[in-house]
Amino acid sequence: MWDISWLAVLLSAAVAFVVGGLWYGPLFLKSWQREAGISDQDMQKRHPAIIFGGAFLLQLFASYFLGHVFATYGGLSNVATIQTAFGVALAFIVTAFGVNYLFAGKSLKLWAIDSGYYLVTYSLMGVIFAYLG
Amino acid sequence: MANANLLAILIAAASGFMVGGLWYGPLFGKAWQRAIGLSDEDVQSGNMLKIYGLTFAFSLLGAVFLGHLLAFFDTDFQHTMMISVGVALGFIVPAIGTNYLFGRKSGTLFAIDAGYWLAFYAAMGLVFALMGA
Repeated sequence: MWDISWLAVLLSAAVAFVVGGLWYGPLFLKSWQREAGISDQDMQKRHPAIIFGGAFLLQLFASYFLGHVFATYGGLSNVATIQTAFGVALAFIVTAFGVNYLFAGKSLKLWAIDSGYYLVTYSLMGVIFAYLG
Repeated sequence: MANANLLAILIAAASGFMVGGLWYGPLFGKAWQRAIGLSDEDVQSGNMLKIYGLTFAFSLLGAVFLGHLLAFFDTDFQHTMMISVGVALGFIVPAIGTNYLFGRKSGTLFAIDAGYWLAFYAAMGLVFALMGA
């Protein structure tokens, strides 16, 4: 249960954080705000420490969980490890967002932005677990 | 693909779909509408064929990959349930949580949507546990 590569867990959480900063920063911040209906005033709501602290803890938890899967069912090749991580994002997270956004009447563009972030992030997490164990 | 139990995949997707009908219907339909800020008119204005059709397609994709993982890892009843619920808890719930933190969504909405995915994957897990992946 705890016998996993904590370095890989920490590193993949950190990488997710950096990708998030780029994705919801210089790359797509304005589109995301528009599509999600978040004004500049809304952006001031909720303390950044809660948002970023909470997001980091959640990401750490997800990274741990992915590492736990790889540690428990070891012996996957590097390629299979990356494929599995990508598949988790595509089949579980992207589909869940899809259903939630359909019923909430959210745009295809918002779904693409949020899904893209998880596909990129989980692929990189897969690379980290593939090469750091 | 290690997985071939197409009947279990179909039934798993259908059972997740039915959990959704209960969850966002009699159980939490009203609370969800309030939390996400959708009026009855908003809800009725959606293209139901598109929403339900795509939702079933997304459910099917989730069921295919879950079934594939379970068949690949050849899990017993207990581990089938643990992995199924774990996928929702470890990957989907943190992704939704992060999303809602940045989206300035309420804790109530998070609880309803996160709870739904836990119930959805528990139902799919039960189908695979009983029918074999």
